[in-house]
Amino acid sequence: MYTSRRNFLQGCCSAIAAMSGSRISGTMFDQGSPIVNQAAGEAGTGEILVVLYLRGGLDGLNFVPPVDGPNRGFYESFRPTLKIPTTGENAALPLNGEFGLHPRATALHEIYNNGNLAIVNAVGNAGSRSHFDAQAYMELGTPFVKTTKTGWLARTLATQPDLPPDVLLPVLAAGSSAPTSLFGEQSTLNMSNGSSFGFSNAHWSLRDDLRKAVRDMYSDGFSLVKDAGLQALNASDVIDTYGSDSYTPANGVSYPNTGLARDMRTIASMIKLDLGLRVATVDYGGWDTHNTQDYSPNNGNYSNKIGTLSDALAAFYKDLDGSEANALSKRTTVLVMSEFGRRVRENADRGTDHGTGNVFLVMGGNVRGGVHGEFPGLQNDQLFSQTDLKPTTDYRTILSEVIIRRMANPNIGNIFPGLEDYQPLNLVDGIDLTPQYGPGLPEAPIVSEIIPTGDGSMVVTWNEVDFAKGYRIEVRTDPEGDWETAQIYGNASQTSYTATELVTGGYYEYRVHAFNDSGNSEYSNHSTAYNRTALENWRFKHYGTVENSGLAADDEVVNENGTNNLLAFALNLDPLDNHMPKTDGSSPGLPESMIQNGVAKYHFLRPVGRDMIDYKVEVSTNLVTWFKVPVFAGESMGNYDHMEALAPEGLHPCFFRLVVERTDV
Amino acid sequence: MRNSQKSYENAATLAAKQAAGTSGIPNVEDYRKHATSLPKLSIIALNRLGFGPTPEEISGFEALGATDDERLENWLDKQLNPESIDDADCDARIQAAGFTTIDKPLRQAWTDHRKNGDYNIRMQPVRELERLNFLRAAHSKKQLLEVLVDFWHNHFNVYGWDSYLASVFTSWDREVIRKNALGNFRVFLEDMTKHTAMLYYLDNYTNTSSGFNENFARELFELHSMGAENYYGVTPRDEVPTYADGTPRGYVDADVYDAAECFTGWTINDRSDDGDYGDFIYRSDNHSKGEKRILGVVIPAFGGESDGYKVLDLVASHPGTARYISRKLCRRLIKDNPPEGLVTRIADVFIANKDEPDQLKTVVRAVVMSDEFRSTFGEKVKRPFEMAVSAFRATGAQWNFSLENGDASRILDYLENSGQGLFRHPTPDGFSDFKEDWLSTNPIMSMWRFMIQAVEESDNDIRHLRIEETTPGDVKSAVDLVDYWIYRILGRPLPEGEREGLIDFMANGRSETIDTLWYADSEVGRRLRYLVALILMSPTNYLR
Repeated sequence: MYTSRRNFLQGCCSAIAAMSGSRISGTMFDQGSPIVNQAAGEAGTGEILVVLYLRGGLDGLNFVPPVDGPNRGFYESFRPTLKIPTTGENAALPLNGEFGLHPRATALHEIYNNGNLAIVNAVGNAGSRSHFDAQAYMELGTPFVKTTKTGWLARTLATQPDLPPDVLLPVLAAGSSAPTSLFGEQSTLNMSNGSSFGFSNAHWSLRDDLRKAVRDMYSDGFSLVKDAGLQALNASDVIDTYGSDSYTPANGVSYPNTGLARDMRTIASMIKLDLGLRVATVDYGGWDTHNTQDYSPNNGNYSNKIGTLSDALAAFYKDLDGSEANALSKRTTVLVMSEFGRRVRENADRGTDHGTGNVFLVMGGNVRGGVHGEFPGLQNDQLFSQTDLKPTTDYRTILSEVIIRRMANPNIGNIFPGLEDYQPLNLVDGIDLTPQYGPGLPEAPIVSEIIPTGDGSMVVTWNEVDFAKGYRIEVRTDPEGDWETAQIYGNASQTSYTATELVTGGYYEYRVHAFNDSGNSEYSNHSTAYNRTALENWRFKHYGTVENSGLAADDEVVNENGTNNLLAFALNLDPLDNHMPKTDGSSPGLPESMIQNGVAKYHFLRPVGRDMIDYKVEVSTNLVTWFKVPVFAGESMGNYDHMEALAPEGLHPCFFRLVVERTDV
Repeated sequence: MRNSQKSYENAATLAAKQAAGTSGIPNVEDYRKHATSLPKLSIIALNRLGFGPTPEEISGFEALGATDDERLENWLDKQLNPESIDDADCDARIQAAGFTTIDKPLRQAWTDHRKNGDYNIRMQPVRELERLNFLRAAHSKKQLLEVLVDFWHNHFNVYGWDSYLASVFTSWDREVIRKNALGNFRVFLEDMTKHTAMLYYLDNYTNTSSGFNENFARELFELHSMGAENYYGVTPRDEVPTYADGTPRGYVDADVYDAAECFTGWTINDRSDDGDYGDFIYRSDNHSKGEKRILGVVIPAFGGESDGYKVLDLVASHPGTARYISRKLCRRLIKDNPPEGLVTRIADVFIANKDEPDQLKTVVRAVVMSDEFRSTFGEKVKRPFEMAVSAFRATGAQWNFSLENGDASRILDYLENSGQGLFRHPTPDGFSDFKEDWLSTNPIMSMWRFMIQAVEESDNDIRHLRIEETTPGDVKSAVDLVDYWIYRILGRPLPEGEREGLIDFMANGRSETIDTLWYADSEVGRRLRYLVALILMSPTNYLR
């Protein structure tokens, strides 16, 4: 069930490679485009989750104020200057008789009246009035634990049953950085603006060369940086191919000119590209209204923000709306949340301080519209800590319902560890799969590298897996052979294993799985290495075996210290007579290296009349990085010149190589 | 005896020679440095205690002694006494930019930029400071100071682009951050608490006995001193675990509420009947007079202005603060998750020096001289600001950063798109110092675009980054050009897998080793500039 991240990336690359050259125009936003659908595989049938986070602590009490009953009286006494009136031109918009909607939310009110907006009152997980703690708890999905290494959306994706391995664009974070809820999800694409993306600012003549050179650099090996760089390259290839400038919303919708609306428009355009988008996030900040929340009930910072929020949400919904059964609005669910509500009593600065319970919105074509959740009341003894709206619904139950009923993902124990006895509030339609509690199976580890240390050992390293209790490391020494257990660790933070006393030159293949009380994860990727020295690896790489090849030659000599580590190579044949440069009259001859007076030297014979050939000698201490060294011509000997190259004084042990290249063709 | 038919010069040597102004024998260590995965100590130090190496600074570092210990200690001693460093080149660049607000005292800045002037005038100080600190990070010889200034700006984060406090933001940088970056933490806390920028940003200027505003008090505990790791939430005070001497191990909401009371009346002088000077004023009428209790200590009633100073005393000397600040410094200067043993050692230094005027200097010194510092490399990545600055350093940028320079505005926009524009972090936690937060698509792609833009920007056909002009004339083949610029930018080799693609790019289908007359060819000049951009974009250049 788990998609390995590396497989995902590789799939992504190959899917893009398959697409390149199929730059399409005109039909790019046509849902029926066979090219686009082919690229996206079957992902187009999946459900889409859009998570809008209102940073700073939305004042939910003025967004959805009580308009009738005893709570209206308490509300008015707590909010003498900020209260939303029930009559007049700034009156709250009617919802269910007991509650109203802020007068600036007219566009959203229409969505509500059509039955596509669920409003849940008094949501929270009381405990912190710190923005940072509350956001971290909520977005990591683990109340009171901030050290969780992945966000709830990342875990939702990691356990999502129907995510195909080669989705192009599964996760989009609109804005400049991904939210904590996606922490640990490396396939996230951030996009603040589709047209200023990729290599579009490079000179046209070098754009393709640049793209290739960057991909070359980032495809060499595996690291956190390279993983992220490849993801960025893949994203840039997608955007360069499909662009988003030409996007025309459906149903005559015109998005307002606000940052939030632009982000929602970007998300809508990417949904319609049908690239397999499953999760999109967007942030809308500035809700920390400690002072001057409003100048009057319908005029000021807060009211303007409510208007912006409402207009952007409504435009997005209408853009996706359609009457047919598979309309995009029917497979898109929008969640609107904030870290906490605000103090019930307004403060002396016409503002409100940090509080607890808050409203939570769920919008979509499969939503059961209405006002949900138990409102605990605003009387003093009904308040939390005597100052705040008491939370009656844990936000995780709302998220769980959407994940189970809309995403068809029952792995609640993995996504919200510790959550028990989840009861749906019936906010959305869908099938009630049996929730899988407990931590569930851990994800498969990823083995990042195996490093032979050169002294008969090698170190196997993998990533730390959430909810793991330990790891089993298995080894085999034959690619077709049986696996044997090499080591078992009972500690989730032990993420490397050192194998010792290995056979020189031997083949070793490792795999790792994580385990916990629920059982074993799938196996990691296999990672292989030979127990060789750097020199042996070099020979293997260049000759195909550890033995010398007939086509090239090397010469190993004992240096002054008696150790066998000075080596000379000649690469490439002399292109004019098809043999090696010579050290003597014989053909082909070996180049020679030696140490004299503390200086490592390299000798070879250069055939005369080879001005069109570049004889270059390079030196290295590690067989990885090579530097050119000066080459001097000595006496001529018949058809050959004596040639000598010198390493810098004192530089040995070292390796020489002679690189022969024609410069006239 | 032998005729020198043709001698190749090593690219690394050329760069080193150019830096030293001499020609000579290649330095053996230049060849050797990649024999192990750990670069030379000069490379480690200049990448983590500065904004990246230059050939000049590498050779300068190497000349400071015979052993790593000697070199690092000598270099560090100079850097920890920045007033002794001659910074004429950087000063000249600042002079050339023609800033007019950067030295204004707070009261004058308030008068000139808050009380008078339109939006542009109000924003001018922060716009100048953005350019000033970029220039200093790129060109100042006081590299460690600039790294620490960046660190403390984020630790005591203030969003600088608010039009109210933008007016006094150069004062914030000068009189709070720079003044205390190597000073005493308790003094640092007091200066920042009382500065107009912080009073406004975290709302303490509205915190009065008739209407408490706990925003500042909460962040003082959570972000500025003890950290959320020492927060016990709504736990009753007497249930918080204590140290042996009875000091509670952490703070609770009740401490936050009482601290907010202690700071009532600490506000900004923005009333004409008090002079409207824009600086700190204590208004006793607005001070809450009752008894308060902070971290187990009773602050008696009627303490007046001294209540706030007592809060600062208590948090500055709390062991939780020592650990939190020490961990953050280790995170900044060594690696994201420093070992707890190291944090404990540094915290001990922090506490032992809590009354010393150069407390933070001693703490930074202990971090840098630790074994962990020199045995760690590549476990942090350069954040966008560091990537941008290191590009300027490596290429010898000659870029006038005056407010009128549109190219400077544009390149700063590219930095801002990465999500790390200077002083633009909106929330008080500052920019993250964890690598994972900067390794998503947007920051990476933004910085790639930054590099491309930076090598192309020019003024009247003169490029701001002098790439072609500073490439030695005898470095001509693709391989030589690649190696020369790798060495100049990184001071160490690039893994072969990364280098190969660069050679292909530079050779463009032609021979990799042949000398050419490419400099006559403008297309090749562009290719060389993009080669430099590519090295700056390489995975290796991210590591620090």
